[in-house]
Amino acid sequence: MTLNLTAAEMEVLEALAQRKDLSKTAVIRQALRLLQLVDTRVAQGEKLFFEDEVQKKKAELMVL
Amino acid sequence: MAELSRKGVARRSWPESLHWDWSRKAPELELLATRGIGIFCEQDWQGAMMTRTVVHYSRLDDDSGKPLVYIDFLEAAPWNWPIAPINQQRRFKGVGVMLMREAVKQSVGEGFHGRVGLHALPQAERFYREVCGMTAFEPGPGGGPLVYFEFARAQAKRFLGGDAHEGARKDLRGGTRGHPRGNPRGNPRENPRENPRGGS
Repeated sequence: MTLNLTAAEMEVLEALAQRKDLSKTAVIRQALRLLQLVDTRVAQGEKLFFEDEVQKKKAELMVL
Repeated sequence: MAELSRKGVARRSWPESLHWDWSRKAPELELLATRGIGIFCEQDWQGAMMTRTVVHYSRLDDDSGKPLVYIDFLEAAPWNWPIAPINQQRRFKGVGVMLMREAVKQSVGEGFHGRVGLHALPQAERFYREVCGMTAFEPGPGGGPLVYFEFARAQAKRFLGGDAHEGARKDLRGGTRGHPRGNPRGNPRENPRENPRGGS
């Protein structure tokens, strides 16, 4: 299978692969697993939040 | 559980994973991020493990923030627990080591370099600390009550190639206490469909 990415997307993929010490394939796999996990939990009625304990901020992530 | 109760064994001495119900965990295996591994030997499940490969990251300085295989649940079958108060000897020894070995192999296969993390029940702390040789992180303020253990790359490599692995292999092939017949070969299977219940 060929994955077509824009230059900007490829740049992000390469940066993530370097930072996480993973191959680009592994990063894509991680992304797919995470998206499926989030999508499944949200479909079950759960919510996803980002929380900053220092600044006392909490934001719900809306997944489309 | 019935025998523990009948013999008046104090609750604090019961195996801590007795209440685990693996049938409730099975739906999680539908997710790409979750994997189940069981050891099937002599027509019985001898142990099972459930791992996750997303949203868990290394706490060790050298690999901080890098992904690892997180063991959500790992359990030897109840007939493999030595329970002194009821004179129960285990059928097979080394089930935990074999499952840990599979977790490390999964981590290597994922490109995580053997990084594995888990939170241990108190009765299992000695196993992860002394048998596996993992690094322990004591519970901090605001965290849960369980000790967190992690395999660094070098520790994982040592564990895969070390005596723990050899010991487990001998035990599962050559028979163990209370199980002298021999010839059982540990057979790790992925996502077992049958119900390897750990609790009751």
